[in-house]
Amino acid sequence: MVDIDFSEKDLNPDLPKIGWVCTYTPEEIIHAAGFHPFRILEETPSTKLADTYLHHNLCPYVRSCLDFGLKAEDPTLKGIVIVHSCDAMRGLYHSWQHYVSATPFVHFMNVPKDTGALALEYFTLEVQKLKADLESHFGRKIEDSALWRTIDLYNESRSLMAELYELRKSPELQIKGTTVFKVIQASQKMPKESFNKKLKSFLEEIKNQTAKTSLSQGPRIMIVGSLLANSQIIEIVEESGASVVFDDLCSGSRYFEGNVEQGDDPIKAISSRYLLKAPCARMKNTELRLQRGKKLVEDFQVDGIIYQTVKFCDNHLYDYPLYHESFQDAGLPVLQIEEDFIGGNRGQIRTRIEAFIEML
Amino acid sequence: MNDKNQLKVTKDMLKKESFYIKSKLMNKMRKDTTRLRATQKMTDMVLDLNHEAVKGEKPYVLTTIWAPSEILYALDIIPICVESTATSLAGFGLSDEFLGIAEKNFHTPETCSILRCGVGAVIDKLFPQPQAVIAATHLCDAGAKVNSTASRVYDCPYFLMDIPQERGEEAVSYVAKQLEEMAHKLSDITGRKLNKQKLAQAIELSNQARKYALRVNEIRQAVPSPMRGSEALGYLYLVGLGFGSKEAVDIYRSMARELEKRVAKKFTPIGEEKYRLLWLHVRPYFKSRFFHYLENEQKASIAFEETNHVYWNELNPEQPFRSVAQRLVLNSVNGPIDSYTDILIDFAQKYKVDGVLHYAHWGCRWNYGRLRVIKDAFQKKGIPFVSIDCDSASGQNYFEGQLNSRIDTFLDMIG
Repeated sequence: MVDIDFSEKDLNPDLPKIGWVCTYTPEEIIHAAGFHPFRILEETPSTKLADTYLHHNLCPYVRSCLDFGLKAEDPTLKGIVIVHSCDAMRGLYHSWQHYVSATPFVHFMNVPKDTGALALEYFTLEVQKLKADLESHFGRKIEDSALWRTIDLYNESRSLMAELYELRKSPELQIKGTTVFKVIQASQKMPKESFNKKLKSFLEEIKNQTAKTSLSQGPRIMIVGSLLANSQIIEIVEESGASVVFDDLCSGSRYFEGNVEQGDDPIKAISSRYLLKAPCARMKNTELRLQRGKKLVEDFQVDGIIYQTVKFCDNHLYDYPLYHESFQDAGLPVLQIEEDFIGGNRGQIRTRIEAFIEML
Repeated sequence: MNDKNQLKVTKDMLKKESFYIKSKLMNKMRKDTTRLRATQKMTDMVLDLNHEAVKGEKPYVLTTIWAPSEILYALDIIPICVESTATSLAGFGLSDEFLGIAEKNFHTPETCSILRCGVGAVIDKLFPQPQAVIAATHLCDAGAKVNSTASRVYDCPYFLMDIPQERGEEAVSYVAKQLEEMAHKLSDITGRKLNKQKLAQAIELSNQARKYALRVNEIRQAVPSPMRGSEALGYLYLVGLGFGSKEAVDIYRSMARELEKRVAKKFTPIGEEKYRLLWLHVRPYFKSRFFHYLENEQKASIAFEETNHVYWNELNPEQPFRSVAQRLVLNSVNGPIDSYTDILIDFAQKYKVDGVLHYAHWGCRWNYGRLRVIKDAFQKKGIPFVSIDCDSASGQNYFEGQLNSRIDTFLDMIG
């Protein structure tokens, strides 16, 4: 079975960089400004530092981001873009502004919850503001030509990721979920230039596999929810004789699904892609999320759903009953798993997943 | 706390005519002489609005708190708020029942108990059939999610007012356009005609209420405090959804007059004022001895609370949508944290408080996100600050002894 690994240098290159924390961040703007946009997404054994600034009743991902900022000593770290994706992110922005000194550039961006014409018009202004803020802070102009080049690069990356995910439609799986997890995590951290090269050659390698040993023919699982800091759920699923065949996660398909379309105005094109992308639970149109889920279940022949939430993630917690109603009541089993982002509760999570898969 | 003055309510009673009649009567008969007549009027207003919605003689919408009330009153549509209904349920001792319904329907106990109680009431169809559901996003994510659930449960249109976390022209214009679009759609749904004159009238009423509310807040700067904070904290529905109604004008005017008289007599409802506090965030709504201990036993006045802050400028009747949009966008909980901490410090100074009591309602994410910055801002100014972790709608985690001892320690420190 083919596998892939990413070195520390791949994941943390010595380039001037700007961090982001939510997939509604239009990375292309940051990249076209000459910075390496990377997602702050680390599993941390504890968020001790951040816990003195943010209450333990707030999302542990957000606390891990603040912890990262408070510890950061990397001179190549030039800034952060925080998106108002939820209440906890708003809190992150307040704390980052006041207590993190590592990033001279801090930008807060509004993202509507709606996707209609008015919302898109407003979001386009927000994307323009990010561009203007980067230009004025760093004294450099972001040309349209640079934006189009970046869009091509990012579109290529998204298409490659989609190709990788598409491979999992086959009933005879040739790639492990844990391997896909490594790729998707790297895609959010590595410069797209080197990531695309590496993924292209990995895809070739998969196609050219001579010994086509396929994975278990056990139940096919889709993970739906907020985001994964580590691969523990996927590992447990695979160790239990099942396979993860798709995800609807912020750190998964919601990151790369849908390309920026060509047009006259790169800002408008970028804004459309980001606002109208596969929706997070924060968005108004829950129906659209459920419809997407139903289509994925069909396309990827899903036998069961693991609904994963990061603790205290209200948007996803409030959507869980709807998932239960829409899938479980229609005969597709759903298991809710709550994670604390610091790798806790492993034993309990294992027992629940094993029982779930046995039931399937 | 006086249980004799409280109606014993069961879930089944809530929709009945007899509940309305009894509640009105109880409201009238309450013998607490320190309670303002204005508060009685406000309770009547809420009971009447709910009753009218139940009778179905007028269109009504379910909303979050701080929805664009002027537009609803201009359309003669009743706004019923999910959160404030939940707080009333807590007051009746019914929140655990509705929290249980929510939990049975897979709502986790880790979310805000007010909204979870609200979603329980929605699932149980406690509310009569609304014509539409509205949510404004500036306060919290959970409100929008719960109201989205309400629109599914009641199978009716859902209007989400997206309020950006900034105060610039783009934000105001974006919100104003959404309000105009919503107003026309609501008019179509309910058959209520939207016209300039009615909108202007609602804006005028909102401005009048604002004038009296500002006067009330000014009078409350008096020492000793002329009003119980526990009572003032009950005005959330009025400040969040009353503006644009005739009743709000009457209530605030009445309140201002009553308080003026009290100040002239140096009357304070707690008898003697040993400490003055600024209260941040919401209050406990479940039945408890909390305020009795704080106000009556410890003689600590809540001189002011952030929920009654009148933060907006006079609205322009010529530009109703834009004005209401400004009111929403300028909400104190919205926008930059530093300008808000400046406002809070100004409260502490104007109301001459000895300290700040922050009631950290478990499950309220936006509040926890700002807590440390606010605490540091007060500490920098040398203003004592205490934050107590507790719940607002459920008394299950209320440990009276522990809480009282935290309060005692704080009061000893500031005394």
